[in-house]
Amino acid sequence: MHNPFDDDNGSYLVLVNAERQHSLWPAAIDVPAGWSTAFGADTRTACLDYVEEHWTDMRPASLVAAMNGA
Amino acid sequence: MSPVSYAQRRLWFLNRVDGRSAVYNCSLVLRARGDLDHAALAAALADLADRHHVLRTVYPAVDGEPVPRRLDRRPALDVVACAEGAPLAEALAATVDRGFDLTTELPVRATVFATAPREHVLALVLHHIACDEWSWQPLLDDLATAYAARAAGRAPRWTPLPVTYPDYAVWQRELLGDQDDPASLLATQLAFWRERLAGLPAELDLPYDRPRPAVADHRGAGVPLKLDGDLHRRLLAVAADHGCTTFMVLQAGLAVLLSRLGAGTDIPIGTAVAGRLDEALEDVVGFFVNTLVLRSDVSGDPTFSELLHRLRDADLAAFDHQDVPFERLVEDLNPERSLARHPLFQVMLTLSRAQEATLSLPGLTCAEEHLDGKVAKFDLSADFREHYTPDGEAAGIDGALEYATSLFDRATADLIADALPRLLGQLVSAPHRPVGEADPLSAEHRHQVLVAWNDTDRPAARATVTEVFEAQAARTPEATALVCGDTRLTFAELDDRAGLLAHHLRAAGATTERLVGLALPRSAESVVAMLAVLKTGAAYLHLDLAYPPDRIGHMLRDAAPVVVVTDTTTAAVHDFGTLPAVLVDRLAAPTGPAAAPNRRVLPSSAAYVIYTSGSTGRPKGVLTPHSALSNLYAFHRDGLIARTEATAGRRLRSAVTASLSFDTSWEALFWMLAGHELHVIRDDVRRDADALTAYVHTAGIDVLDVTPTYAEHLLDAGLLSGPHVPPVLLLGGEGAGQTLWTRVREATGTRCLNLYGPTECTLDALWWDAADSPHPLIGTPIGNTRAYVLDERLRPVPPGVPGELYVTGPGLARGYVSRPDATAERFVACPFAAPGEAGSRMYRTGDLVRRDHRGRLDYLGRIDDQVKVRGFRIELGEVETALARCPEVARAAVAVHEAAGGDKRLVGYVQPATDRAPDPRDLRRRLATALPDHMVPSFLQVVEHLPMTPNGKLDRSALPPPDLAHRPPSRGPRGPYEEVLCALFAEVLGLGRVGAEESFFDLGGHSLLATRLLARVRAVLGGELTVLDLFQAPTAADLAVRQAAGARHDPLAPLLPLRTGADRPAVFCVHPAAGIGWGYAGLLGHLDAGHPVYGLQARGLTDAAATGRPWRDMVEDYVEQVRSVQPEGPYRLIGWSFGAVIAHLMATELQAAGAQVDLLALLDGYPPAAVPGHRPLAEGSPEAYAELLESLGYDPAACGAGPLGPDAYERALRRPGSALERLTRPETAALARVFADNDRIYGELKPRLYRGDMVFFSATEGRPQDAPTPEAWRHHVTGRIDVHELACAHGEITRPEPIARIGAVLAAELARLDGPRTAAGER
Repeated sequence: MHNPFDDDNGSYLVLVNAERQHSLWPAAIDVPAGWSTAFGADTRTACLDYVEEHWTDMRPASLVAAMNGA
Repeated sequence: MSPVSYAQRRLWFLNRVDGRSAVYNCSLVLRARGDLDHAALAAALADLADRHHVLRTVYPAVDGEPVPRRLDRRPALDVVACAEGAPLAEALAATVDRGFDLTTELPVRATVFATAPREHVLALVLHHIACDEWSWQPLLDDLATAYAARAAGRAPRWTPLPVTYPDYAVWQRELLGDQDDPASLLATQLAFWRERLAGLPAELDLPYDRPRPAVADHRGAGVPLKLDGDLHRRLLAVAADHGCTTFMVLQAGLAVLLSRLGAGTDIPIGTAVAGRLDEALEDVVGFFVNTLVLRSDVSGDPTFSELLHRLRDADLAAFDHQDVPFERLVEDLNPERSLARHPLFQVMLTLSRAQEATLSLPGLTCAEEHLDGKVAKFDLSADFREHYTPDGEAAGIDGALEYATSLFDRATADLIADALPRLLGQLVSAPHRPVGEADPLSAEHRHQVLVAWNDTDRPAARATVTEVFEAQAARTPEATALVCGDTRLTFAELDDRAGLLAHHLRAAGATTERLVGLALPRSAESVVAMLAVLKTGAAYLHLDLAYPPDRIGHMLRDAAPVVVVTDTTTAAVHDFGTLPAVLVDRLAAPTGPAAAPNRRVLPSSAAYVIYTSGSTGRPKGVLTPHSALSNLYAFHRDGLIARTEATAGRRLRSAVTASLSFDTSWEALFWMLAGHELHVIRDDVRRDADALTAYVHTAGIDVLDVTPTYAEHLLDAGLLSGPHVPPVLLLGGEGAGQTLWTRVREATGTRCLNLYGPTECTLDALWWDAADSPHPLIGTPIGNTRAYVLDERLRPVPPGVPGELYVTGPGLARGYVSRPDATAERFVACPFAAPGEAGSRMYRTGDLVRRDHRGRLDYLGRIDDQVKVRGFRIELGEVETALARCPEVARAAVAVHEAAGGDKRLVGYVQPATDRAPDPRDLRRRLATALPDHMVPSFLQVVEHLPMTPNGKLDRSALPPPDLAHRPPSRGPRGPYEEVLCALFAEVLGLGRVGAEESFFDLGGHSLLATRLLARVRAVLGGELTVLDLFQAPTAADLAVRQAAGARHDPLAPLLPLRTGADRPAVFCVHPAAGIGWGYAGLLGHLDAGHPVYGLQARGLTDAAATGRPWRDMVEDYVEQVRSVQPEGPYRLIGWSFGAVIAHLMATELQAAGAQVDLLALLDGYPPAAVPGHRPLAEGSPEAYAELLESLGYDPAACGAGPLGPDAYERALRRPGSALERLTRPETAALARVFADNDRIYGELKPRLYRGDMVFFSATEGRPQDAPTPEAWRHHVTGRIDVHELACAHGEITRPEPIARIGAVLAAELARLDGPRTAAGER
């Protein structure tokens, strides 16, 4: 069985949620609630490069906020 | 003589295999109201058999082949009175379900059940050999004609049939022609099918509920199938649009459904064709029907229109080649045959016009009664009937889905029968959409799999594990919290020590969202340090000190901890770069006030980082938040821990046996958080199944968490049968096998949970109690966790269908340290979040699972290249990358090989970069500097080319099995211990033979196998070798030295202790004429470990002055030796050749002194009186050398031509691979001297009378004509002489095969004498 996230020739999106967490996402499948498209559709590699470049602080946004606020 | 048809022949053979089977019964039940003339019906039945000869034909075997024989006997009509309801149903079942013996019995059974004066039920049961479904109507028509005539008192007048079945059988053979004639119909059609069915899957992957039995039982049941009139109409319209038949549309729908249920994209479906190729056959009763295989290609996600075109073309071609009988096709294609499944296809599809079989008898109204089918010829069979209104309008399609009950539950059949119309509805509504878009799941099932089976909500756990621990320490400060070796710490002590260390760590910069490295040997301090780090708010990272420095270096660079906790000794040998270190053995008392615990820890704050294997060659650090630990702790605290406490009513002891650098160590730590006593098991104990079991029993451990592989070893070691049985056994880390599952279920007093969870989901995501399922399951999600089984489009799959497991909930890790890309592709958006949880993530596990109809998950395997070996998670890609980094390797592949006994090992394949093949041993050494032990392949094999798939990827499935037979040569064993050890190495490793200088670990040995090996060594040789000895001395040669050192003996000493320390009476084995007793080592593996074994050797071997003694001195000396080991009887004596006579003399000597001798076994040795021509040999003569060599099983002829001198003799004894290779020249000379001396003594020996029975082993090969027989002992034994013949020469008696026979006989004798006990070979 194939996994929809592992298709080297597939078309993908990069999704981001409120915690600023990033998710690779197959472009052909509906975007789940609570996520918005930050990049794509593009190749898998391009999407992962985007993630690598833009998800620099991997802490959840709520944790960052709490740590800054305290 | 008329032949049988091809189809008849196959049925006949099946009938010969199981004549009781009703699988090939065809039955029809009719209810008739009115006045039935029984005599007329009986006569009509006989008329019927005159018209259709198959009804009165039997098929006796002639030369193993069926030969039809028409009998004069006609089928009889049974008339039975029977009440309606249950009695009738029972009576009907009895006749319908009874088979036929085709060799003697007519293939027809007709019964009338009279249920009321004017109510009759007629059951006609025919064997398929005489009938098919197209036979019923002509049969009933003829029966009606005959009945009407007979009721009117005359014979029926009907037009004779133009052809009969035997005519058909002849005609069929003529039509098909000779296969050897390429122009024949048979040859051309077979050629078509051969091409059409090439590469057909042998077996479909259907959503089976149970494993396939080895032999199909053909039991079946059915569920209704129903397509309403509207769907029927739409289906006809689509069929018309595509130039298809209704059958083809149904076939397309079924193929899409099976594909979606996991059957792949190449789906063979069987169907039936009438086979009545000529009009003349239409009215004939008989077996004409033929079976066709329709290969349905659903690949490439075509639109439904495309699929219909594909199937139409394929079906039409198939129907054009329908004359080859199916059985002939099977013979020709010769697929892998199996009694378990139907050949070539397992799913059948038929469609017929709805037509009741009608019987019109004068004065009666008849109607067909449907019986529920109870047989299944196939796994699944969808049989449809198409209905039309009288004016030709589509009125629906109905039918039954028949299923094999040994494979499917009713629920699965229902699911398929329910899904097929729904799926067909979707497909015919949108024929231009890809078939993959259609969804077989109903709304109810969707809710069930996504929501109902994930109903795991429980209150969120607020307290962090640190807070839980501190609260517990405050509650029970004086209770023991931690035990490790001699160290015992109370909760207060543990809390204090952790607090002190935390103080220093904080000063070094440890705080929330910072990492602290832990580099400590396994000790109480390791746990102190974990707690200390958590107290500071930081997260810990265990650095396993056994890992290669490179890997530790990578972890430090990648995770960038702010400080490392270590001790002076460790810091001296490990390099942590510029990282500041806090030394636990050099902690200063705090200078200021103790720092307050860090309360800034949030649920999402990091708790620890654990590195796992990474497929691209770099290990990945999984970062786990506190909320994940808290959630799992709360779940276990309120469930398992609470229940165990309630049952035990006392404090409990849990044990950490895993490496602390794995998250599973928390499984045991949780119990301490809950107030119980934690035992950190030291390295030398935790890896040794016997030692760990002993620890569990003596320390009273209650909770143990191990991998299933290790659990097997522990159970073997008696874990669950000792004085203290642990009430909780936790299994995790890899799939649990059925054998273990059954064993733990049968154990009483232990609750065994199977825990599933990748590190990314924090220890456990799913769990199951072994008591609640007879086969292994990973079960259901833990609290607040949801499990989704999804297909390739992230849609939930129906129960029973394999899919990939995705997990969501608070247990999810935050991601991989410094790896946003890897995190974004594994922790992905969840499409099934509840409204309040929008934006949540799910972890894709890569694990293939399926749910059963109760929602429980079953683990099936991986969808990628991750493997588990002894619980260790390994990405094959990482090992391959490491191998390919070696300059002499061009490409590398790694696979898991399962050895005999289920032991899994990593095997590496390397393609050399140059002409010079790399040395596998050298490569392994270098790999060990980059990878942890468990990731270094057990074997490396050099291959010319790695197998590739057509699209250029590595084809792992085509890798050859490891070629273990071709290893660099290693010398054979020398001396008794090496011999035994080599044999045990080979046994444990599953290899044919092992050389004395081959390393156990180079041959695939690992720590678990080491445990097994040492248990065997201790059982066979006695002594106390440990796993540590094996690590330091991994060859049989080195280990033999240690074994000998333990026994402190000279291998040529008069008393050779082969096995010591056992508690039963010893077995003493007397040397042959050469004086050496090493040959008896081969007995050890076969005799119960409870018996010590000693060899008696000639004094002359070590003391030249000891030759030339009178024989009585020798016997007295040996008896003394025996008494020095064992002062009292009973004595057990064995002697070989010359030694046989000595053993006999010792036995009589002992008996004369009043001692008991209860076993005397002689190996091919005879009293001298039986060898009258015996002439002493001259020492140093060629004859003496030759006889000596022969007496020990060496071939003197192999020494070359010419008289044997001392040099050739010595070379022969010490040739490489010889058991005596290690002897020095003076020692070989001593052997010759002793041999000559014993030869002299032999002629003088005077055996006396032994009181008792004797066991005698006689070597039967190469015996001279006048050789003595065991009867020669007759006058020296009062009891029986129990003779066993060995097919070997006299000198070969201690070779593996004969000595195994001898061992088996003696073991049985000893067991009889001492009562049963496990044999040495079984544990």
